[in-house]
Amino acid sequence: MNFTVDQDQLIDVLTGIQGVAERRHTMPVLSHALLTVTGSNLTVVSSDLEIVIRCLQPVTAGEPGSVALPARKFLDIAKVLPREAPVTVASKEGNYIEISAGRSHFRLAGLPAQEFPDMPEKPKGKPVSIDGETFRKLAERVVAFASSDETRYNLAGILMEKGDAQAGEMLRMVATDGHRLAMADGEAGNIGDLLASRKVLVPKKGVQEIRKLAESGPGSIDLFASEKFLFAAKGDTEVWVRLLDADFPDYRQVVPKENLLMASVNRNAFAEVLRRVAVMAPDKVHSVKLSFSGKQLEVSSTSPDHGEARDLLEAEYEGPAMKIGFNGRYLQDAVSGIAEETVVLQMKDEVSQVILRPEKDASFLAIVMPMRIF
Amino acid sequence: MTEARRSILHLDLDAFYASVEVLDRPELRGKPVIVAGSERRGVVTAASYEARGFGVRAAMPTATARRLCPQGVFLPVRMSRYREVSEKVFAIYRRFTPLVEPLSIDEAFLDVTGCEKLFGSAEEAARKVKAAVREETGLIVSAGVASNKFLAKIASDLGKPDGLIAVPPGAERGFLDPLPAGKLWGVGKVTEETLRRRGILTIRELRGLSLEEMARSYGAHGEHLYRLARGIDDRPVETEQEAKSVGHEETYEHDLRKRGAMRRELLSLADRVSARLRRHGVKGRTITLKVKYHDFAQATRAATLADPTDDGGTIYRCSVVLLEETEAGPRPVRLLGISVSKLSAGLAALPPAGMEQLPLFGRPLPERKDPIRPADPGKRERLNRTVDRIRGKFGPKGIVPGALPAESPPKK
Repeated sequence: MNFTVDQDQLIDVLTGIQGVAERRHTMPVLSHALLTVTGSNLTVVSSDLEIVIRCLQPVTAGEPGSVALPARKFLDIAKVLPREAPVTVASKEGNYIEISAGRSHFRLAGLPAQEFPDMPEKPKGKPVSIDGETFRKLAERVVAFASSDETRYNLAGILMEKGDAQAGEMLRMVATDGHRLAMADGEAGNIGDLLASRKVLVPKKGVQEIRKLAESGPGSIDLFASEKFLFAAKGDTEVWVRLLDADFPDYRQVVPKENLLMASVNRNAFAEVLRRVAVMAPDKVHSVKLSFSGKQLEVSSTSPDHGEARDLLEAEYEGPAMKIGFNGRYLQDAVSGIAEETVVLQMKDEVSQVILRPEKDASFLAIVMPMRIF
Repeated sequence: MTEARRSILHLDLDAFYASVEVLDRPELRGKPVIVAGSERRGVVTAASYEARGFGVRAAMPTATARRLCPQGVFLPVRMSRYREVSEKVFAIYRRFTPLVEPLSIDEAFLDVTGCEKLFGSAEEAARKVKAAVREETGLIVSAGVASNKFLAKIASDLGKPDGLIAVPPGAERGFLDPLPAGKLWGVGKVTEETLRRRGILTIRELRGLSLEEMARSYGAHGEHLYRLARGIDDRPVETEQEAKSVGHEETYEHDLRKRGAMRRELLSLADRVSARLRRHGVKGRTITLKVKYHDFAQATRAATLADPTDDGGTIYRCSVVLLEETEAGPRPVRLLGISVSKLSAGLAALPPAGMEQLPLFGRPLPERKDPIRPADPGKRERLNRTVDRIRGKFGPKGIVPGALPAESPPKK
């Protein structure tokens, strides 16, 4: 195998696959990227068995062939090569690769291509197209709400299903860690073709890899779900994410319907106050207290070691005086998903779930369970 | 080689849970106070000395305790309150020396070697610790003072309640001589019985056996007993921060080939590791499974939980999930190990007192089936404490998981 490629292009393609290659070290070959030259193309693949990324890069190809190279090391080398000359990569005996540019030479030990796990099948049928920006925004709004506990299978994923809004077809993402939940809808022309009768549970990391793909430039991404994988493609890059085989909790059941105590606050002011009192909130639990009375909302925190913080903001609130505790981080994550000027909090009492949502935009909803603070 | 002489204190709070209850409700002073599981099948967790006068003991069924002491004041366990008080006491200990090794919620070793200028002799230091604890918390602590951990612990035990016994340098043997052999760490019911049949009742008599005889009869453990009987114990006082992980592994005489047998061994390992975590008062978040195959090739798999745990069931279920990710089974296995890391201790391992994040999905929902965590962590925690108490009284075999046979396969 040998090929010549522009240095920036090589750095781009290796950076693109890095996130997946680095993670696990249980099988040495998984920290490697599989390089294959066919025709005038180089494909680079990385896999952790859960997520597979494949990038295609046109190159000046010499001999076809393939080899697995340590992904991190290869990128490190690509970055330090001299700028002025194109990079030549050539197989040598015993899975060694020679990388050269100008007068610089590197010899890098690889592994035989056969050791690399087989590629999952590319899904057949017609993919569904969704705007990259829409996908990015959906993912951004819910990702923080998924559990980062990987052993908690059913909560470590993000549910994707067809939204039940009347206004056109929507892709809905839902995430929860058992203490709070976020639900976001985004327009997706014919998502019904993909998720009409089913929902898929996609691991958080997989959603983030697809989000990176969406962020790589303007344009839409193609989605396809097979029995086992969610497949996403954009430009020269393809991502397979293995679906979680677990039951996501029935989230509709925890969306409260009788939360009649409504408070409206300015979004930016609320975000700022939360950030301020967070400084004094105890580590780990990040507890903050919200006290509603009349037209005022007081937000406070108490650190057993350091002291207290207290701040006030204006609120539209009609109900009786109420004190309610929360993990302040949960509130901050909820407010982050809201772009509108006004945030509405819908409450029932100090021990039942609270809804945080934009005043008008119906495409986002966060539910946060209070924290009992005595 | 002569080691510099050390000064070790063993401090043990008297009837701790019951004393905290009396502290919080002074009208109970002088009454038989019994802290016990409130359910019909509960057991006694702690009894005040007044209650002990009626024959009430820890680990006894609550029903029996009620029969023995109908006038007793029976109170439910309030673990978070005991933790809070325990933290206060440990903070006092740490004023005397940073070398504090917690053994449990109410027991600790302190190394006060070289503190003579500050506190006087080790015995004097113990007296000061006792006074400080009494003055600042109202609790009574029994102390043992000696040149090593083993002797210090025996000494504090002998002086209870409100004891202070010091074993002066040079007096170690005389101190040990009259004590029953069962007082030695690691002499359980079985060893004690075999010793008794050889006519050995006291530590003095045990010392009559040579190192060879001890090793022949009791293996490596025999050497350990040989040293203890001479009052020799070099183990340092280890503060909890030093331990990065708590683990245990086992090499099997015959390679394990069946997943079922491996799971049983994992249960036994998880049970031991969790007991040690609890003894050290720490919880860990990362669970690592180590598998050595018959050809000595080795694999490790790890998972990190959202919350730290010291529960054997949780550690077991997690390691079973990890076992699925190895080639164990198709490849025969000669060694299994479990370790728990990312440890946090004391208050850090607990949600702060008086705060509770409420769950979004209530318990009755069938979706809340969790393959790893216990359904009711609070109940699990109480169960684990009870198991620890029972083992404290009847030894490690006093209570074992039902799935574990009385005898495990022979170890190498």
